[in-house]
Amino acid sequence: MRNKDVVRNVTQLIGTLRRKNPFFFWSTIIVYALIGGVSTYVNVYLLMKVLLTIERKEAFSSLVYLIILVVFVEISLKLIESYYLNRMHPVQSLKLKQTINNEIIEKASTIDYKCYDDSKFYDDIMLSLEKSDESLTNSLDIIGVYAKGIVGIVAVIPLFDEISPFLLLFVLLSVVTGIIVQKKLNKCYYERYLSMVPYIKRNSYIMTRFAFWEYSEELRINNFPSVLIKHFKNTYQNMNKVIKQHGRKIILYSICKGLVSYIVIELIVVGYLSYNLFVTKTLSAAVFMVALAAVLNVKDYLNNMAENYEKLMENSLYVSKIQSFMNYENTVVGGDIHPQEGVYDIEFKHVYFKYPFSENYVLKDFSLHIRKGEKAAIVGLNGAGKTTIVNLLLRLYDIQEGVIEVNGVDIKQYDLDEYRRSFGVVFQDFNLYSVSLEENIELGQSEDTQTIENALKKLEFDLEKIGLDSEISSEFDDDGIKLSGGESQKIAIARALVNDRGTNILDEPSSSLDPFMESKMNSILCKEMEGKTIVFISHRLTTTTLADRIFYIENGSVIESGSHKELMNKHGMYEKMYNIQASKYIKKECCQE
Amino acid sequence: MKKRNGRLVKKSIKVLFPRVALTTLMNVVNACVAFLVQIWLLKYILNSVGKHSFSHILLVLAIVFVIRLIISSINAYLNTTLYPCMDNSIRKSFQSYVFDFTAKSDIELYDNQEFFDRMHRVVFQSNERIIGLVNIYGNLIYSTVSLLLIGLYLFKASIILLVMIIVPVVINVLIGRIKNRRNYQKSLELTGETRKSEYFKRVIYQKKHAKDVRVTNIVGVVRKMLSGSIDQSISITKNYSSTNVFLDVTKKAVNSIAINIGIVLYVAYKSMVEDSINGTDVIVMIRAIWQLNENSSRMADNILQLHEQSLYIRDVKMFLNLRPSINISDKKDQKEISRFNNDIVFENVSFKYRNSKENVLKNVDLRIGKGQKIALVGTNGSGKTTLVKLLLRLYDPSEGVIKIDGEDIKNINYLNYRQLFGVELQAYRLFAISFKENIYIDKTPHNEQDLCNAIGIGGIIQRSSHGFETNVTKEFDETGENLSGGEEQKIALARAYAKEADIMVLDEPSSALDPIAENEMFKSMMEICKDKTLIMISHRLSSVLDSDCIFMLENGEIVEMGTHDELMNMSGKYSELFDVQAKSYIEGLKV
Repeated sequence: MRNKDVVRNVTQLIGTLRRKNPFFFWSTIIVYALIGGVSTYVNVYLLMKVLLTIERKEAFSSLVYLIILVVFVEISLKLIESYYLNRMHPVQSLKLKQTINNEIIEKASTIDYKCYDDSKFYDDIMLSLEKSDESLTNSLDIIGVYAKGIVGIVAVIPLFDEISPFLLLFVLLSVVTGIIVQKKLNKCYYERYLSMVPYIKRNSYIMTRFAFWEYSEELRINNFPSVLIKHFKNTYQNMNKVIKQHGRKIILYSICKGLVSYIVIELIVVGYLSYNLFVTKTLSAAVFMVALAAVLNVKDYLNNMAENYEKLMENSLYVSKIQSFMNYENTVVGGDIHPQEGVYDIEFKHVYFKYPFSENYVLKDFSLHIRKGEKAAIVGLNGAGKTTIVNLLLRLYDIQEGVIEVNGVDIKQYDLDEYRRSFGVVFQDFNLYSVSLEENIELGQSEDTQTIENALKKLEFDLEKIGLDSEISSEFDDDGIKLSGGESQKIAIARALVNDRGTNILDEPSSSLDPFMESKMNSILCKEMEGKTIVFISHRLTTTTLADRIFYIENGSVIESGSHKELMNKHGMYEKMYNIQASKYIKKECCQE
Repeated sequence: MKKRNGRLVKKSIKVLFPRVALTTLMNVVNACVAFLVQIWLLKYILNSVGKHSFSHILLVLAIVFVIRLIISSINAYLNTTLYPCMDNSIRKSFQSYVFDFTAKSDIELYDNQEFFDRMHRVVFQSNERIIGLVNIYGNLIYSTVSLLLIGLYLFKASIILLVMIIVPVVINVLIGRIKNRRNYQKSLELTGETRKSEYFKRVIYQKKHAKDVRVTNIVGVVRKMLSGSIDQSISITKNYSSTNVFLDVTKKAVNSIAINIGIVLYVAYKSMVEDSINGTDVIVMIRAIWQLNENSSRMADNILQLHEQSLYIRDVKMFLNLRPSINISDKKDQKEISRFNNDIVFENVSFKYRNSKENVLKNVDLRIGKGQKIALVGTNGSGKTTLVKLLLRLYDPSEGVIKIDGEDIKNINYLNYRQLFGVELQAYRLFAISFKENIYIDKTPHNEQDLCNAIGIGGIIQRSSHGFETNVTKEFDETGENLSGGEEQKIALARAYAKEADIMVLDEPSSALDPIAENEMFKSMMEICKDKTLIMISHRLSSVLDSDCIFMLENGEIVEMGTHDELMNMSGKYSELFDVQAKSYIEGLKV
C-alpha cells in the first residue's frame, strides 16, 4: 500500500466512524485520552512526588495524603474505564453494527445479480462485508489506542524537558529503528502466511467435512475418514516445512528487533542516567528511577501504537472495500413504467445471451412467444438453457442482443423492483428460511392467514402436525422443525399460490415429489392458475402434457414448438424424448391389456 | 472406556510433553532475566553510588546485555519457528483423533442439539483451546516466578508484605471467577442472537439466496429479524453491565489499597519513621511494587483464564467420553464376514428416530436372496430410505433384528460389514480430492477402463487435466474440474461400483439426470449388477419394472411385494401408483 492510499483510507475510516456514530467516536477518544493522561500522571508525576518525599525525608503525613490521592485516582479511572468497556462500548458497537448493516442490506439486495458470478468482486468485496461492522469497531479501538498514546506521551514531555531532552531522543531512536525492523519482519511473516494459505484453506475444508451433518453418512459408509485424515496430516507436515523454510530470516529479524530495544533502553538510557548519577552527579536516586519509569512508559505507548499500525491498515482496507461496494453502479437498471399487475404476454425476439465471464453463448438468436394466459412448457436436456430463460425474464441478467418484451414493452423500461416482484416464482433451488412457516410463505408480504391456510390445505400439507407459527429450521440448525423434501416443496409452491400473481414461473416444481403428489400438484396448479400465464420448466414430460404449448430447446434455440399433440405428430426430438420416458410404461401397459 | 481415554491421555502426553516442558523452562528463565534487568540491576546501580566507579557499572551493563541477547535469541527461535511447528504437531495428532472419533460416533446423536453443538465446538475450537491453554500456563509460570523473586529478594520474606502481595491475588481470583461465570452466561445468552444475526446476514450475501432477495420481499423479513436481534443483544448487554462495572472497580480497589496503602506506606514508614530500611532500597522497592501491582493482577488474570479454558476443555472431555454403539472394533466375539453368500432377512423390524414420536418403520419383515434385484418403492416419507439406512447400520433398529447369512448384523464387526456394500446414497457427497480418491477411496485402482465404460464417465476423466488424479472442484486447485449435477451423480455411482462389493445399494440414483441420460444409466446398471445383489430405491417406477421383487412401502410398512406383473394383477397400492404415472404418458401417446 502506498502512503497516499494509507492516508486516504484512514481519513475515510475516521470520516465514516464520525458520521455513522459520532457519540461513539468522540466518547472513545475522550475516554482513551483520559486514560493516557491520568496513567502518565500517576505512573510518572505522582511516583516522582512519592519518591522525592521519601528521599528528602519530608513529613510522613504528606506521604499519606499522596498515597490516598493515588488510590483515589486509580479507582476513579477504573470506574470510567470499566463503564466504558462494559456498557458504552458494547452497546454503541451494536448500534454502529445496525447502522452499517442497514446500509449494506439496502445496497446488497439491489446490486446486479451478476456480481455474484464475478468471483473476484464476490470474494474480495461481498464476503468482506460480513466483517465490516467488526472492522469498524476494531478500528475505533485502535484509534483509541492512538489517542491514549499521544496524550500519554505529550504529558511526559515537561518531565524530560526538566531532566534531559536526550532521553526522548533515545526513545524515538529505539522506536523508529524498531519500526523499520518490524516492517521487514512483517513482510517475512506475510510471505510465510501466503505460502501457508492453501494449506490453511485445505485443512479448514477437511474440518468442516467432519463437522457438518451433510457428510456424516458418507463418512460412515465408506472409508473416507482415513483418506481425509491422511490429507490433513500431510498438510500439517507441509505447513511445518514452510515454517522451517522461512525460519532463518524471521529469526534473524526477531533477534534484531530485541537488540534494538535492549541496546537503546538497557545500554544507552541506563548508561546515560548512571553517568549523570555517578559522574556529573546531577541526578538523585529518586529522579533516576522516575526518569527510567518515564522512558519505559513512553516506549510502551510508542510500541503499542506501532504494533497497532498494521491492524489499522488492515481494517481501513475493509472500509475502502465497503466504499467501493457502496459506489458500485448497477448495469441492470429499471425504467419508470409501472408494470400492469396481471397476466403477461411474453416475447423473446432474437435474443443473444452469454453469461458474464463465459465465452459461449447460451442463447443464440432465440425467439419465443408466450401468449397472454397461455400455459407454456419449456423442455430440453440438462444444460440446454432452460433456467437461463427464467433468469433473463426476471432480469437477473441483461441480454447482449435482441429484446424481451412483456405486454409489448421492452422489459428494460419497467421499474425493476416492481417488475421482478410482479411474478410468482417457484425456483428449482428454492430456499426455506429460519422463520415461522407463515413468514416463509409470505416472504415479507403480509397476507391473509386464511388464504395461506387454504393454499396449504389444497396442497395437502399437514397443518395439524406443523402449524403456521412453527419455526422452520434451515442451514443454521436450531430447535426448528426439519421438513422433508416433499413438504419443503409444498411450501415453495404455496408461496406462488398465495401470492396470486397473474404470471407464474415454475422451474421444476415437482422434482422431489412422489408420483402421487406430482400428478396431484400438477392438476392443482393448473386449476388454481386457470387463466393466468404460466411458464413451466421441466424435464419430466408428464408435467408438460398439461401445457397449451411446448417449446423444445436444444443448444440455445427453440427446435420445436407446438402443443403436445402437434409435437408428437412431428416425430422430432420431443417425441423421441417422450417415448424414452413412456416406453416402459407402455410396454407393460400393453402386456396388461 | 477407561482404556480408550487412557490411550488419548498417553498420546496427548507424548505430543504435549516437550512443548509444555520447554514452555515451563523458558518462562522460568525469562522471569529471572526480567528480574535481573528490572530489579537487581537497578538496585545494584543505586547502591553502588560512592562505592564503585562508573566504568565498573558500564561493565556490569555490558554483561547483563550479553545475557539478555543470548536469551532473547533463543526466544526468537522458539517463538517464530519451534513453537509453531510443535503446535502444528499437537494440532495434527489431536485433531486427527477427534476426526476419527467423530466419524465413528453414532449418527443418531446428530439429532441431539446438545451433542451437535458440542461436536462443533470440539471439532472447530478444541485445538486452539489446547494450545491456548499451554500459552496461558506459560504466562502463569512467568508471573508466579516474577512475583516470587521480587517478594523474596526485596522483602526478605517479611510476613506482612507477603500477605499484602498474596491477598489481592486471591481476592482478584475470587471476584474474577464470579465475573467469568457471568460472562460465560452472557455469551450463552448472546450466542443465540449472534447466530441469528449471522444467519440473516448470510441470506443477504450468499448467492443461493440472491434470487429470492430480488424477486420477493424477503429483505423486509431480514431487516426486521436483524434489528430485533440487535435490540435483544443490547438489552442483554445492559443487563450485565452494572454488576460487571461494580466487580471491576472492587477488584481494582482491593488491589490499589493493598499495594499502595498496605505496602508502599508500610515500607515508607519503616524507612522514614523507624529508619530501619535505607533510603535507596525503599526507592527500588517502591518502583518494584508498582511493577508488582501489574504482575499480581496478571497472575490473577492467568488463573482466571485457566479457569475459563477449563470450562471448554470439559466439553472436549464429555465429547470424547461418548461410546459409539455401532462402529466399535474392540468388542469381543465380533464376527468377521468376507462375502455375502445367502440372504438378508429383516425380522419384525421397527424403528423410530430419536426425536420423532411415531415409528418410521413398523414390523417390517423381508428377505433378499443373493443375486436378487429388488426395488423399494412408495410415496414420500414411506420409510424406504430409512430401511436402507438400517441395513447399512447407520442406525440400529429399535426393535427386531436384521440378519445377514443368518447372523445378526449387530454381531458383525462394522468396518468389516460395510465392505459388503457398494452404496450410492440419495444425499451422496463428493469431496475436493482427486477423482481417484473420490471413486476408489483408500484402494488402489485397477479397473479404470472398465469403470469408465460401464458408468460413462470416460468423457469427464478425459477432459480433466490430470485424468484420474485431477481434483474434483477448483476449490484448492486451478486445474481442478467442476462437475454438473448429473456428472456428480455418475461419479457417485462409479464409487459404488468401484468398491466391487457383493451388494449394491442405490437410493434414487437418477434424480439429477435428464431422461436420455437416465435411460442410459439404467441400461448400464443392469449390466454392472449382473452378478450382484441389487437394492434400489426409485420414485420413477419405469426403472423398477425388471426387478425380481418390488417391495411397496406405505407409512413404514411393507404393504405389497412381488414382481411387477404380480403386483399389477393384485390391483393394489402399487398398481394405483403405477397407473398414475403411466396414465399421463399413455394419454400423451394417444394423439
